[in-house]
Amino acid sequence: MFKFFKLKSSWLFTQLLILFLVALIASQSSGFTNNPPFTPEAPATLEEVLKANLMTPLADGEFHPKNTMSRAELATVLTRTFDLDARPETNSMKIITDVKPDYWAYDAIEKVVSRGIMSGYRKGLFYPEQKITRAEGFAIFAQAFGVYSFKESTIDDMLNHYTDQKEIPAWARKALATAASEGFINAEKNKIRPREPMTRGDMAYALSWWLGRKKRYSPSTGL
Amino acid sequence: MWLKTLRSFRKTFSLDYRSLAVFRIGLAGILFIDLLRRLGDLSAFYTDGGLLSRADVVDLFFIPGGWSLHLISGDASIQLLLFILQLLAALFLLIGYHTRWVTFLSWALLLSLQNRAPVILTGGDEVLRHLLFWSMFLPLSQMFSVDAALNKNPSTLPSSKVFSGGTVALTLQVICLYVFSALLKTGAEWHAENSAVYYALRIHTITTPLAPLFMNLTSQFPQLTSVVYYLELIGPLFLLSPWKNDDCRWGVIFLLALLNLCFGAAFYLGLFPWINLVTLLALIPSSMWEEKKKSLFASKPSFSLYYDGECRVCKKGVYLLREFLILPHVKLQPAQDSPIYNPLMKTHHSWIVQPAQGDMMLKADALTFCLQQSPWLFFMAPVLQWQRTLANALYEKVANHRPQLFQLSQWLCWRSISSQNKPLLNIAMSLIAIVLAGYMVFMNLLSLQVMRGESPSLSLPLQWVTTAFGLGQSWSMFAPYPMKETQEAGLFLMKDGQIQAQEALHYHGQERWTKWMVFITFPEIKPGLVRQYARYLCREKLKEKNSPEFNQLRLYFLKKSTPPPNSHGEAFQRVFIWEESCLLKESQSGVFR
Repeated sequence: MFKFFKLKSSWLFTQLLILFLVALIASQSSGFTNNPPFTPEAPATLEEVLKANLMTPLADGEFHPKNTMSRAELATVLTRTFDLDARPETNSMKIITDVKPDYWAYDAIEKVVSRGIMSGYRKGLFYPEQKITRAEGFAIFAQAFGVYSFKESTIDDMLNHYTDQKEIPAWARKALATAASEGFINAEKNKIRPREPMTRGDMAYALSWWLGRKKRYSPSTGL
Repeated sequence: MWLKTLRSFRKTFSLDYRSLAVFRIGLAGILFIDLLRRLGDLSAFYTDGGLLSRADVVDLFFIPGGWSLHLISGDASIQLLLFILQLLAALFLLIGYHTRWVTFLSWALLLSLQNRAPVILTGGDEVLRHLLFWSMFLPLSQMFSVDAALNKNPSTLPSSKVFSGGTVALTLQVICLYVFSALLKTGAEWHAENSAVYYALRIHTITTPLAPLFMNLTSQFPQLTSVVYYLELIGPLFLLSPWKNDDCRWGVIFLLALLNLCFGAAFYLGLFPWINLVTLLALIPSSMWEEKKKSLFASKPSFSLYYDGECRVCKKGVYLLREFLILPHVKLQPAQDSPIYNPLMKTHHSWIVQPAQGDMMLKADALTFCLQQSPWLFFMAPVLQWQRTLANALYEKVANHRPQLFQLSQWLCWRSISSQNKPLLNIAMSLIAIVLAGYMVFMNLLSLQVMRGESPSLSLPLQWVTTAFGLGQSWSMFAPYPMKETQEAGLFLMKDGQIQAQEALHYHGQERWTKWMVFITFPEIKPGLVRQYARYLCREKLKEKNSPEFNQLRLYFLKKSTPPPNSHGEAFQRVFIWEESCLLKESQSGVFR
């Protein structure tokens, strides 16, 4: 009556049961759904970004969020946002030939170049007025923030969430994973749109998240 | 001089915490297997409807001091509940949770279970019971246990070794087991004739299919007999060697392990050899662990594991993981302490593993990395890597159900296990263990007297204590000499005096049934048992669908006498011992033939 352990059949049954349960749990889990694999916390508002003087309205007093951004503007935002003076210098501004000391963004460009956050092109050219793409803008922003050394598979996990992730240049993947992880990227309909030009609105969005994060966690992280 | 002797004594009887931890795990594993094996015979041996009713047990076997919780009911369901309770206790012992209490519970329930069916006790049962008893006096949970992982005061132990009354008792128990086993082997077969190995290997009822391989060594039997005898008699004494104690221990462990492996290969002795092997684990010297530590962890990268410090179940989880994956070099830190990892942890709802050099890992990748670093579960890492998506999904499932997990894990409490702050209790426990160890040696000396045919009598209080705590011991396997006569049982199913079928009763490999049959083949020892057995067989045969029609059952034994070495031919003799009318009412008994 109490032959409880008819081992072979019960073993097979147990294995099948475990397999079934694992499949059931997994199928219900968010890993197989469209939910983002990470959820950054709430950002600050645009007013707070402006109040913090990270970006300023244009000459007409308007913000113009649809205006695209140049490399010089990006350098300015980065110097306003991050405490770059505290970071060690790795390059010399002498290598840049197309930005003169009387250029309006000279100081900002000098800082980002000497700290290795942005670099010039061939023949010492920085092209300060050149418009930047979203991939460049967010990647450089992440670079200034500090890129996490995520494992390659983790980076893939994070970027796979975006339907156009194949358009992301290989050099920018790691930095964009950090940017995405921190919520800096405004990716409507799960699209990063890496090849599109970066607008002031895009940057303000990134800054709002950065500011929110800074307020929430230690303001003296030195990140 | 005294101080030196004391220091040497202390060193000799000290045991390593890690050795004791693996001993605990092995002991719990053996207990688990033992219980599962017994479950198969639950109705036969532990219920009133089986072979041994409670009334029979009390009538035939109980002596003053005897007790058994298992006698509260003859019903299978109650017995099953007790088995489940005991399995749970064994599981807790395995993971080292409230270790001392579950050791006590395991021992008490085992003694109770053994007292419920004393007729089927084997040598292995006795060893297991004594080991559990001494375990109550040992610090088994300082390593590789839930107790250690969730220790509120993880003060560093002053030494990797412990010396106490418990360690003295366990060491003496190992020595007594072998030495007295040898001393009880007084037959000429172990000495003048040197034929004990030959006779042992001819006991067909307990030999394994590998035994014939040993039979090929016929010419070496006399030497093997001497080797076994002197190994048992002298070998364990080297554990006490004050010189090169570690080397001596290794020698003893190796030789006794070999001996037990040979026992296990040649004979169906149940768990006896495996329990002995587990016992040897407790004796592993510290030097082995230190060397392993160097070779295993020197090349491993150090890393930090950041967890959610506000989540109590997460904290428990990572501490348990570090303990059971054996990752002492991992730094566990609440992510909240770090301005970098805190936001990351919250964003990704994940713990973070950050090696000193290299990429950080989240979720299942972090677990895979931890497994890779584990000295014993490293083989699981590729499996997890292979099923990464599934593993991540499971991770998220777990992470999203932390409140429920918290509820479920509330029984796992942080508590202090350090006994260093209870010196008086330690001394008291040590003294009790020393006294009991002395009594254990006395019981073994008493078994020598019994073997010589004397009948030493214990005073009633001592007898009561011995029985109540299961302290009696006599290691009489193959003593004074191996059996020279094997008896294989069979039965005739009959109808109106005519034989309808004949059947051999094979219990090969089932040591408890083999033990039972010893009592049946010698019905004069406990005549009541033969009647019970015959009735049991009647009931079982009547249940079988393909059984021929019968109303009578006749039990017989085929006695086989082992011829002396170098002789040929076995003497057979069939002996009818019992006839049972299978249609009679219980009150109408069968008859001896």
